[in-house]
Amino acid sequence: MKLTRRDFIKSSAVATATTAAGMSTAVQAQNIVTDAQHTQLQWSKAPCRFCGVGCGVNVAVRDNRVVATHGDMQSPVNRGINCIKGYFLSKIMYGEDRLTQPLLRKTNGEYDKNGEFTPVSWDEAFDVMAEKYKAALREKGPGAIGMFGSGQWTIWEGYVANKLMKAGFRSNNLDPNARHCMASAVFGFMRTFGSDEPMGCYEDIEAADAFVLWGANMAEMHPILWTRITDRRLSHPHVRVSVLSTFEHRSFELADQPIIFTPQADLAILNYIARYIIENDRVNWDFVNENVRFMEGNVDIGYGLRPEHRLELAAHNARDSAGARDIDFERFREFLQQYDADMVTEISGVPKRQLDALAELYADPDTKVMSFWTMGFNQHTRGVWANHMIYNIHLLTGKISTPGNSPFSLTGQPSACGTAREVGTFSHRLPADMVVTNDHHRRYAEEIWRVPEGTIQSQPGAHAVLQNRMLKDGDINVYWVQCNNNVQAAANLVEETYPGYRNPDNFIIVSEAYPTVTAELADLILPAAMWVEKEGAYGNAERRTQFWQQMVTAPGEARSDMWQMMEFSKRFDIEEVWPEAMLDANPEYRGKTLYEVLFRNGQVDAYGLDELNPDFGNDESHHFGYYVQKGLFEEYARFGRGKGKDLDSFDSYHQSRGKLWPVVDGQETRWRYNGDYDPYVEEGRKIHFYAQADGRAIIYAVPYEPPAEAPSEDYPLWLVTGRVLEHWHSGSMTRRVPELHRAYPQAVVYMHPEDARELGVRRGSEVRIASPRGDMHTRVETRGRNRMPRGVVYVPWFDASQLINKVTLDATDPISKQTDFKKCACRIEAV
Amino acid sequence: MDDNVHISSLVVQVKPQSVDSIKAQCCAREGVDVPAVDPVGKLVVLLELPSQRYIVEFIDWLQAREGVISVSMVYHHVESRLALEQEVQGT
Repeated sequence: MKLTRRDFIKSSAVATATTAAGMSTAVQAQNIVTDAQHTQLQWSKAPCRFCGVGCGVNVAVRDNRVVATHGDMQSPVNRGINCIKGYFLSKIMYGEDRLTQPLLRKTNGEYDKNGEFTPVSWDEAFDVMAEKYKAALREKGPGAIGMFGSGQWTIWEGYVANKLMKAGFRSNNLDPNARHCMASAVFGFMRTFGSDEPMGCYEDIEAADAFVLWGANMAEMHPILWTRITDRRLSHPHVRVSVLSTFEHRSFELADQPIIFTPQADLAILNYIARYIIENDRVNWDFVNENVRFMEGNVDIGYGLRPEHRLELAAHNARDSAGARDIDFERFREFLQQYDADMVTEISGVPKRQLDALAELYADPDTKVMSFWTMGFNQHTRGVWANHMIYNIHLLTGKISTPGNSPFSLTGQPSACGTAREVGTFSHRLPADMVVTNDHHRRYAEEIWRVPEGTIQSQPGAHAVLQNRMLKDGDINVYWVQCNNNVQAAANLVEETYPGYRNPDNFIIVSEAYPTVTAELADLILPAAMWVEKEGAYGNAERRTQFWQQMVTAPGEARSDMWQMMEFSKRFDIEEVWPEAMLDANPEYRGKTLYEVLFRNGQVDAYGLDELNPDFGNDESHHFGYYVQKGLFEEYARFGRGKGKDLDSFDSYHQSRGKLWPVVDGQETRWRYNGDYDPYVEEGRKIHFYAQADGRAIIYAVPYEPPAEAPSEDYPLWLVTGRVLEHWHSGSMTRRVPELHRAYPQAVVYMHPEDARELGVRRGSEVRIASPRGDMHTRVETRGRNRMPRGVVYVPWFDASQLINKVTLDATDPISKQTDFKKCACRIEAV
Repeated sequence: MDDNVHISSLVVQVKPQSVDSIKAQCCAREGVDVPAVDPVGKLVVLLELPSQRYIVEFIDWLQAREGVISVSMVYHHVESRLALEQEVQGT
């Protein structure tokens, strides 16, 4: 029988889909895909490039080009299916405006901040960059250098950045864009459990009896996990789904308990539930007596604005926002008394009946509950508190660390966990939960990195929001941005971001694959390799570390971020970056380049090219002459081994579909702190929060406090920002797929039809949306996927032609320094 | 305009009472086939469409149907029409 490639590919498409849907056996489908050797496709595994779920994808290459993808049936995360963003994967590398050579602003052949972008060689780009770095170091010291990275960096890219900045240039002014998404979750984990990242895993979904979505719109933002929840709900009728949000979105389709609350009132609802559990005598005393203690946090902690802002001057504890003291259970109970139904209904707009039904899911000892949250809790001026409050509930009831009982902090980026959090690319962190402020931690890092004692600075560097303020104020003068679009992403663009990038005293370098808004404001653009154009590793939201091989070569002169940083470090003699006194005490470093000190240290360069997999390329290793990724990974893995953060050997990750750390003796850990699963738990204990010195997790008494800004007479509407399914974050990749423009071409403002009518506008009308900080034009949408309550509007932020962050406020959680993008006041006018 | 063909498959979760109606609505559209159905609430949808714009428009349309809970992609292949006419050996 004659068979064309079309027939073959169609049957593959059907076979993989029926298998993923559980309608046929995996063996049938695997055979047909393997048989695709007839189609001359080389298939290999990779994690998806987009969100933090970390789905496995099989990627097909033909003639050095990605031509097909399908959900990886062997991936325990997505079991063969992908979300709609999977359609972008074969196209994101091939946008017409892909950057393929370095571009420097020049006039008459010389660098000029006001000049035009002009193609230059890598040599010239690095020459100009090195000159700027050296001048800043000479004149002001390491504090004048800053770097902004990404939860989309591969693990080794983040590791190189951390080492280059904190040990090489001796500046802690390094932060990832994960500050905007995960910082509140990180502080919540560290303060409650003493160790970052969730205790449970995605397998909790198939064991849970109830799901509570706190603000998270998983149907659009985490669709694969949503399909797993949907499967569980449809096939087990007793399962309940509760969806809470400040407006109605697609996840409400499946909601048994739909709950709309006033922005910021989540804090009051959470404390109501804790009070309900206590007052109805549903505390799990065996669990609490064994595993929990209580603290009360400082209140009136301000909003992380500039210190001279009136709200900061008025805040009693703005300088000690993280302070807390020990209390007992009785004090906790007393503290919660104010959160009765009258008070909470008044603040939240949620009737008592709904509050009780929600609280009962948590209180009922026979209901296993999984709670999900992402940006709703984390992008919150009280984000750390919101994280504490959800743990309070799970700890009071003992619903934690057992299959199906799982407070689960979702993530937005593919390696927010693996790179930003585990590698410790935050301005206060080092790998494996260590911090720069701890003498032992610094010493430990210096020993592994083989750099002298005292190399790492003991003060935290500037976090994301502070970096923008310091650029504007001229305190940071050389700034390297990699793998993110922060001009579009950061709040209060006009007042705080733009002035810093265009400050004549500053030199801004942006490594990018596409000309984003951020790249266009740079002085030097460096073309970046992306995804399967390099060997990589990501860590997803359930602690799963996943590797992939380089499958194609990057176009033109595009190079990976890792190559860029390592190659750039060759431009510095160690005498140009470290002080004389340090070199006098450690003369063996003299005469070396920064590259030699950091990377030719007998560890990073320990593995030869003979260890590379000959079936794949590896441009960086061939350039530097050793297996760079393996050396970096093995050096990095030393930080966490034996400390509850154990990673497996490098080679094992190329074989498996990832493993959940801690990986001890090759075995992953699905439920941390649980004696049946976690080898770190003390012998004989069922549960043990071993990362806290006394083995106890902490319940925090923290209150509802009002937001930094609320609707007023002049600005009568709440503004909420976020994402849509079709475009991922700032759209710098997804908007490169030209056919998509018609499907969701531009951002709109979703609003209630009555609010629109009162303003004299209709669906499709052009409007101006304004705050005291800036404005933008957009169009009204009153129908479709998001249904707004009166007084609340929603604008997605993917559209570079409609920058909603001109309108938003740069208020942050004072503890985590994460911006609240979910609430400020605005006004809408017809145009 | 290129002459690419996009072959792709979807798994669609729907409320059980909507399975038949959604299948019929899908099959009525050009380039769309429903080769497998699970009455508990799942459809496999096969698409052969000339550009990603059509795919996204179809998905948007599908997601807006009453009874559809989720639409997931499984397989996506893009290649020129000419290449797809080539014969492959054996099966």
